[in-house]
Amino acid sequence: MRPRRRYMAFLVECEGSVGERDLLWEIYSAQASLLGDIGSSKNRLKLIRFDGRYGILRCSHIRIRECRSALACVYAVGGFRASLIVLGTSGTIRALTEKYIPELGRLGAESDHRRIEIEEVTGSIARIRGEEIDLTPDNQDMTKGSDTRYLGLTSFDLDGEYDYADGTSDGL
Amino acid sequence: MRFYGYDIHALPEGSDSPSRLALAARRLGYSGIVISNHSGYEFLFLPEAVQRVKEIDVAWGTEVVARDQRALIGKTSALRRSYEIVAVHGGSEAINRAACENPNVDILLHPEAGRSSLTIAMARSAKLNQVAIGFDLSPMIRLRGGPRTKWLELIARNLAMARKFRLPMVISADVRSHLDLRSPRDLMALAELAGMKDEEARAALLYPGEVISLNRRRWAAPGVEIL
Repeated sequence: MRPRRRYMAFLVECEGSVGERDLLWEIYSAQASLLGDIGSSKNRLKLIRFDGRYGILRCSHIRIRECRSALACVYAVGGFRASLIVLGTSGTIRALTEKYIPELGRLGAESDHRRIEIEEVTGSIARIRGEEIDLTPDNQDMTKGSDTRYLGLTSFDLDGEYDYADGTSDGL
Repeated sequence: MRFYGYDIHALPEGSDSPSRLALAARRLGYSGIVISNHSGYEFLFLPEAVQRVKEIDVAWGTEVVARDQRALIGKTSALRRSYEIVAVHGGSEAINRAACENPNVDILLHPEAGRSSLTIAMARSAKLNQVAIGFDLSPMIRLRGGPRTKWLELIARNLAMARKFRLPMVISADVRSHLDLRSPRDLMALAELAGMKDEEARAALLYPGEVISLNRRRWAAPGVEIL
């Protein structure tokens, strides 16, 4: 049977630049010294992706606590002070990326957490640029065919359809 | 959950200004932090700037460092009025005992630092005076191998004592820069590996907030509040 997995999104705060090899070495050595060889083997920790700041780790679904502690014990990477911040865990890479990983996070910062609900199109606004609105749909199947992350809408789609409580001129 | 970061040292003792620490802590999911420099580093760098960081509560505390029992009693009663939370930098047996017997003290931090563990008499008087035991998890993060093993042994003994006498516990990580901050969940995971139970670790992170909300009210005498 296939062992179950959890994925962990993390962020590296570091005073220098972080290489993937250095980071891995630090994580594995922190893990080895904290939990020993047997404990480490049960964690099944593996780096899936790392872009220099954000990354994804895979681990065993029942050993999240141990993996978190191992990551918390990383004190420096490549000779620079660093800290690993776990952003969140999830059962699939896809859900993890959508929830915690940067592109969304950066866009999420522009979002004002307003929601749009028109017939079957529901979701929260990821960003607004002029009249264009990018929407993170609640139903992920909506973006499946086009292979995009967001639904593209405009403020004209919303005009006149609803009376919004805050009644701003862009119709949101 | 109102988790509070505790044992956080700002400039000039640490390397970050209070506002930077507040910002970093907010991102990690704390609803408040207690900035508590050791006595001797009271004059913080731009403490008023933290008011501009929204959605996080910043409380001011102090960690009393004293040579002997008399100095400890003098310093705690002098500092009690000006800080919301008063802790003692534990270590030697005499200081640990004096801290446990002092009702002005809120938290006795790292009593295991001098390689001496809590005794039954200490735990009993800590219970009487409502002194919490602070478990500083930074050795778990910074040490490796033998020293860490030794530390874990000491912690286990203090933990058993605190549990037996139902003393309140606090967990912290001796933060001196934003890179030392660990999220509440990370601290809970570390504490659980060190032997705490899940609910104990959770209560330990909530405890500073409870103490602060009590200390912010005005008390005329024990049990008598000015409204």
